[in-house]
Amino acid sequence: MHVNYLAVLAAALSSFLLGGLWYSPLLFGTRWQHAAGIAIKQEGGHPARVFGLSFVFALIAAFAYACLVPVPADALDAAVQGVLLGAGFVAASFGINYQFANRSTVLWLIDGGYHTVQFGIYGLILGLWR
Amino acid sequence: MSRNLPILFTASLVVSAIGWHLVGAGVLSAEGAGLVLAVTLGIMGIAFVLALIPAGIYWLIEGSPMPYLSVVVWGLWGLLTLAYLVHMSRPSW
Repeated sequence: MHVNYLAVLAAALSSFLLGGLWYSPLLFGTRWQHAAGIAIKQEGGHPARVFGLSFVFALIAAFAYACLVPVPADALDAAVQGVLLGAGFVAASFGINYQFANRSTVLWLIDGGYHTVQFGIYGLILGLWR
Repeated sequence: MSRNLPILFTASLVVSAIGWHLVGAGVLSAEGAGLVLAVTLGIMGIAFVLALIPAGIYWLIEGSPMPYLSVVVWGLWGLLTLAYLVHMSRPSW
Protein backbone atom coordinates (compact mmCIF):
# COMPACT_ATOMS: atom_id res chain seq x y z
CA MET A 1 0.00 0.00 0.00
CA HIS A 2 1.59 3.24 -1.16
CA VAL A 3 0.55 6.41 0.65
CA ASN A 4 1.91 9.85 -0.23
CA TYR A 5 2.07 11.39 3.23
CA LEU A 6 2.70 14.88 1.86
CA ALA A 7 -0.47 14.62 -0.21
CA VAL A 8 -2.37 13.47 2.90
CA LEU A 9 -1.01 16.48 4.82
CA ALA A 10 -1.91 18.84 1.95
CA ALA A 11 -5.42 17.36 1.81
CA ALA A 12 -5.89 17.89 5.56
CA LEU A 13 -4.65 21.48 5.26
CA SER A 14 -7.00 22.10 2.33
CA SER A 15 -9.96 21.31 4.57
CA PHE A 16 -8.92 24.25 6.78
CA LEU A 17 -8.70 26.60 3.81
CA LEU A 18 -12.11 25.45 2.62
CA GLY A 19 -13.55 25.66 6.12
CA GLY A 20 -12.24 29.21 6.53
CA LEU A 21 -14.17 30.26 3.45
CA TRP A 22 -17.22 28.02 3.94
CA TYR A 23 -17.92 29.06 7.53
CA SER A 24 -17.04 32.72 6.98
CA PRO A 25 -19.79 35.36 6.80
CA LEU A 26 -19.11 35.53 3.04
CA LEU A 27 -20.73 32.12 2.56
CA PHE A 28 -22.54 30.23 5.33
CA GLY A 29 -20.98 31.46 8.60
CA THR A 30 -23.86 33.62 9.76
CA ARG A 31 -26.50 31.08 8.70
CA TRP A 32 -24.56 28.24 10.32
CA GLN A 33 -24.30 30.06 13.66
CA HIS A 34 -28.01 30.78 13.56
CA ALA A 35 -28.97 27.22 12.56
CA ALA A 36 -26.62 25.61 15.09
CA GLY A 37 -27.62 28.02 17.85
CA ILE A 38 -24.01 28.90 18.46
CA ALA A 39 -22.74 32.36 19.29
CA ILE A 40 -19.01 32.68 18.75
CA LYS A 41 -17.37 35.42 20.76
CA GLN A 42 -15.75 37.89 18.42
CA GLU A 43 -12.81 38.67 20.67
CA GLY A 44 -11.78 35.13 21.52
CA GLY A 45 -12.90 33.08 18.53
CA HIS A 46 -12.47 29.30 18.64
CA PRO A 47 -10.03 27.96 21.20
CA ALA A 48 -6.85 26.40 19.86
CA ARG A 49 -7.99 22.98 21.09
CA VAL A 50 -10.90 23.00 18.63
CA PHE A 51 -8.65 23.80 15.68
CA GLY A 52 -6.03 21.30 16.80
CA LEU A 53 -8.49 18.43 17.19
CA SER A 54 -10.22 19.37 13.94
CA PHE A 55 -6.90 19.13 12.14
CA VAL A 56 -6.27 15.69 13.65
CA PHE A 57 -9.68 14.52 12.43
CA ALA A 58 -9.04 16.01 8.97
CA LEU A 59 -5.73 14.17 8.91
CA ILE A 60 -7.41 10.88 9.89
CA ALA A 61 -10.05 11.32 7.16
CA ALA A 62 -7.45 12.11 4.48
CA PHE A 63 -5.23 9.21 5.59
CA ALA A 64 -8.16 6.78 5.59
CA TYR A 65 -9.17 7.98 2.13
CA ALA A 66 -5.62 7.49 0.82
CA CYS A 67 -5.30 4.03 2.41
CA LEU A 68 -8.70 2.55 1.72
CA VAL A 69 -9.96 4.03 -1.55
CA PRO A 70 -8.24 3.53 -4.91
CA VAL A 71 -8.28 7.06 -6.30
CA PRO A 72 -8.47 7.41 -10.12
CA ALA A 73 -5.51 9.10 -11.80
CA ASP A 74 -7.82 11.26 -13.93
CA ALA A 75 -8.41 14.50 -12.04
CA LEU A 76 -12.09 14.90 -12.94
CA ASP A 77 -12.84 11.26 -12.04
CA ALA A 78 -10.96 11.68 -8.74
CA ALA A 79 -12.86 14.87 -7.86
CA VAL A 80 -16.22 13.33 -8.72
CA GLN A 81 -15.34 10.20 -6.72
CA GLY A 82 -14.52 12.40 -3.72
CA VAL A 83 -17.75 14.37 -4.09
CA LEU A 84 -19.77 11.14 -4.24
CA LEU A 85 -17.95 9.73 -1.19
CA GLY A 86 -18.51 12.95 0.75
CA ALA A 87 -22.17 13.14 -0.18
CA GLY A 88 -22.88 9.42 0.00
CA PHE A 89 -21.05 8.54 3.20
CA VAL A 90 -20.44 11.67 5.28
CA ALA A 91 -23.41 13.90 4.42
CA ALA A 92 -25.80 10.93 4.40
CA SER A 93 -24.51 9.80 7.81
CA PHE A 94 -24.90 13.33 9.13
CA GLY A 95 -28.49 13.18 7.84
CA ILE A 96 -29.26 10.26 10.16
CA ASN A 97 -27.77 11.99 13.22
CA TYR A 98 -29.39 15.32 12.41
CA GLN A 99 -32.82 13.69 12.08
CA PHE A 100 -32.62 12.18 15.56
CA ALA A 101 -31.06 15.31 17.03
CA ASN A 102 -33.89 17.34 15.48
CA ARG A 103 -31.41 19.65 13.75
CA SER A 104 -32.48 21.78 10.82
CA THR A 105 -32.17 20.93 7.15
CA VAL A 106 -30.24 24.18 6.66
CA LEU A 107 -27.59 23.01 9.13
CA TRP A 108 -27.40 19.62 7.39
CA LEU A 109 -27.01 21.29 3.99
CA ILE A 110 -24.21 23.52 5.26
CA ASP A 111 -22.29 20.81 7.16
CA GLY A 112 -22.95 18.04 4.64
CA GLY A 113 -22.09 20.35 1.75
CA TYR A 114 -18.81 21.28 3.39
CA HIS A 115 -17.74 17.64 3.70
CA THR A 116 -18.94 16.89 0.17
CA VAL A 117 -16.68 19.59 -1.27
CA GLN A 118 -13.92 18.69 1.19
CA PHE A 119 -13.87 15.08 -0.01
CA GLY A 120 -13.94 16.31 -3.63
CA ILE A 121 -10.76 18.26 -2.91
CA TYR A 122 -9.26 15.27 -1.06
CA GLY A 123 -9.90 13.13 -4.15
CA LEU A 124 -8.38 15.75 -6.40
CA ILE A 125 -5.21 16.11 -4.31
CA LEU A 126 -4.75 12.39 -3.68
CA GLY A 127 -5.47 11.58 -7.34
CA LEU A 128 -3.07 14.13 -8.80
CA TRP A 129 -0.28 13.91 -6.23
CA ARG A 130 0.84 10.29 -6.04
CA MET B 1 -20.99 33.87 -14.79
CA SER B 2 -22.11 32.99 -18.33
CA ARG B 3 -20.11 35.94 -19.69
CA ASN B 4 -17.00 34.36 -18.17
CA LEU B 5 -17.51 31.01 -19.92
CA PRO B 6 -15.82 31.85 -23.28
CA ILE B 7 -12.88 33.46 -21.45
CA LEU B 8 -12.63 30.47 -19.08
CA PHE B 9 -12.73 28.04 -22.02
CA THR B 10 -10.08 29.98 -23.99
CA ALA B 11 -7.81 30.31 -20.96
CA SER B 12 -8.18 26.57 -20.23
CA LEU B 13 -7.40 25.75 -23.85
CA VAL B 14 -4.22 27.85 -23.75
CA VAL B 15 -3.12 26.33 -20.42
CA SER B 16 -3.81 22.82 -21.70
CA ALA B 17 -1.82 23.45 -24.91
CA ILE B 18 1.08 24.85 -22.85
CA GLY B 19 0.96 21.78 -20.61
CA TRP B 20 1.19 19.35 -23.50
CA HIS B 21 3.83 21.49 -25.19
CA LEU B 22 5.92 21.18 -21.99
CA VAL B 23 6.11 17.42 -22.47
CA GLY B 24 6.94 17.78 -26.16
CA ALA B 25 3.63 16.47 -27.51
CA GLY B 26 2.42 17.59 -30.95
CA VAL B 27 -0.56 19.64 -29.87
CA LEU B 28 -1.63 20.35 -33.44
CA SER B 29 -1.97 16.69 -34.40
CA ALA B 30 -5.40 15.03 -34.28
CA GLU B 31 -4.43 13.04 -31.18
CA GLY B 32 -2.79 16.08 -29.55
CA ALA B 33 -5.86 18.26 -30.17
CA GLY B 34 -8.03 15.61 -28.54
CA LEU B 35 -5.80 15.52 -25.46
CA VAL B 36 -5.76 19.31 -25.24
CA LEU B 37 -9.55 19.44 -25.48
CA ALA B 38 -9.92 16.70 -22.84
CA VAL B 39 -7.70 18.59 -20.37
CA THR B 40 -9.47 21.88 -21.19
CA LEU B 41 -12.86 20.38 -20.36
CA GLY B 42 -11.38 18.60 -17.34
CA ILE B 43 -9.99 21.79 -15.77
CA MET B 44 -13.24 23.65 -16.40
CA GLY B 45 -15.36 20.70 -15.31
CA ILE B 46 -13.67 20.29 -11.92
CA ALA B 47 -13.87 24.02 -11.20
CA PHE B 48 -17.58 23.99 -12.00
CA VAL B 49 -18.40 20.74 -10.15
CA LEU B 50 -16.75 22.00 -6.96
CA ALA B 51 -18.14 25.56 -7.24
CA LEU B 52 -21.68 24.51 -8.08
CA ILE B 53 -22.10 22.58 -4.80
CA PRO B 54 -21.86 25.66 -2.52
CA ALA B 55 -23.72 27.71 -5.14
CA GLY B 56 -26.58 25.19 -5.11
CA ILE B 57 -26.68 25.05 -1.30
CA TYR B 58 -26.60 28.86 -1.10
CA TRP B 59 -29.47 29.10 -3.58
CA LEU B 60 -31.49 26.51 -1.61
CA ILE B 61 -30.94 28.32 1.69
CA GLU B 62 -30.99 31.97 0.67
CA GLY B 63 -33.09 31.75 -2.48
CA SER B 64 -30.62 33.96 -4.35
CA PRO B 65 -27.47 33.39 -6.41
CA MET B 66 -24.28 32.92 -4.39
CA PRO B 67 -22.16 36.08 -4.33
CA TYR B 68 -18.62 35.83 -5.67
CA LEU B 69 -19.45 32.68 -7.70
CA SER B 70 -17.21 33.87 -10.53
CA VAL B 71 -14.39 34.53 -8.07
CA VAL B 72 -14.76 31.03 -6.60
CA VAL B 73 -14.74 29.41 -10.08
CA TRP B 74 -11.71 31.43 -11.17
CA GLY B 75 -9.94 30.73 -7.86
CA LEU B 76 -10.47 26.98 -8.27
CA TRP B 77 -9.47 27.23 -11.90
CA GLY B 78 -6.24 29.01 -10.91
CA LEU B 79 -5.34 26.33 -8.36
CA LEU B 80 -6.08 23.55 -10.85
CA THR B 81 -4.06 25.28 -13.55
CA LEU B 82 -1.11 25.65 -11.21
CA ALA B 83 -1.32 21.98 -10.17
CA TYR B 84 -1.62 20.88 -13.80
CA LEU B 85 1.35 22.92 -15.02
CA VAL B 86 3.53 21.76 -12.11
CA HIS B 87 2.45 18.18 -12.84
CA MET B 88 3.25 18.48 -16.56
CA SER B 89 6.62 20.17 -16.06
CA ARG B 90 7.91 17.28 -13.92
CA PRO B 91 10.85 15.63 -15.69
CA SER B 92 9.53 12.17 -14.79
CA TRP B 93 6.26 12.65 -16.77
